[in-house]
Amino acid sequence: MDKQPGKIKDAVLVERIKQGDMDAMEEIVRRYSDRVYNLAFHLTRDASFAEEIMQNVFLTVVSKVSTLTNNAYFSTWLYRVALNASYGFLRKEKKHSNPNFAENIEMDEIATYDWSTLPGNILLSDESRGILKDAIDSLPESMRTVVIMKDVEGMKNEEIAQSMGLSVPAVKSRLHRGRLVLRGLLSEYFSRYEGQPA
Amino acid sequence: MNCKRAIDLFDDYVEGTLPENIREELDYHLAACSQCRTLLNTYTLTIRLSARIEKNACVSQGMLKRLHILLCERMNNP
Repeated sequence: MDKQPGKIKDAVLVERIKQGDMDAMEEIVRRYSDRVYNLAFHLTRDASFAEEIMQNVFLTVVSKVSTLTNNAYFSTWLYRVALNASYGFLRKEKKHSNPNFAENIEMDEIATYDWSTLPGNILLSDESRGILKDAIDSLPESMRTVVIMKDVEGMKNEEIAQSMGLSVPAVKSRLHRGRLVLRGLLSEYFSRYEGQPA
Repeated sequence: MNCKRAIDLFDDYVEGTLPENIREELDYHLAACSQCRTLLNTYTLTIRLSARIEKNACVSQGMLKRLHILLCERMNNP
């Protein structure tokens, strides 16, 4: 996030925030608000709660940033705060996933129908997107978080690992299993088009 | 290479991070196994569809304004 030439590094801004510099805080908000909001929104699927979570995350930055010993890890720390806030919301709202549902599908790795050749209007229809969103929601929490951070938000494995306190292999394993589950659920849905001309 | 091993390698295959010899071995398996080919095609598409389930939202000016007010209050009254 702070690797563009001439751009002030996050670590410098964080040091200024620790001194009470509001302009530095505004710059951090500019850099990270979209990312934090989208992560919270994809985890909670609720726009108003995503805003509330985003506000809490940046308020936490103000009140707790002094506890960050290495400013270079700011973005990792910020994502961890965002994840914890989102998990807190999900627990409060009791929006638990159904692990049994996902685990059953995970075992099904038989692929006979290649729905990747279906036309874009079917693959990207509102209905199929809804099926995929519900499928992501049905994943166990840790798997869902990794899939959202990597495949929906486009974050790097290393970034996800640090934010979640996991190793990179653990992230890759959860991601792979999650993708297989989603693929299985999409296969079930798209199987209705099997035998129809593409 | 059997199907289970092949499937385990899909993530690195899609990312392009497999060592060349392993990738060749997987390609060889895929050429012979239509089920794994189908699985890989649909696995790859699942990733692409996930990236497009929702347009990423930009935080609105209204949200930024509300956040700004909260941050000013917090920074002025730590």
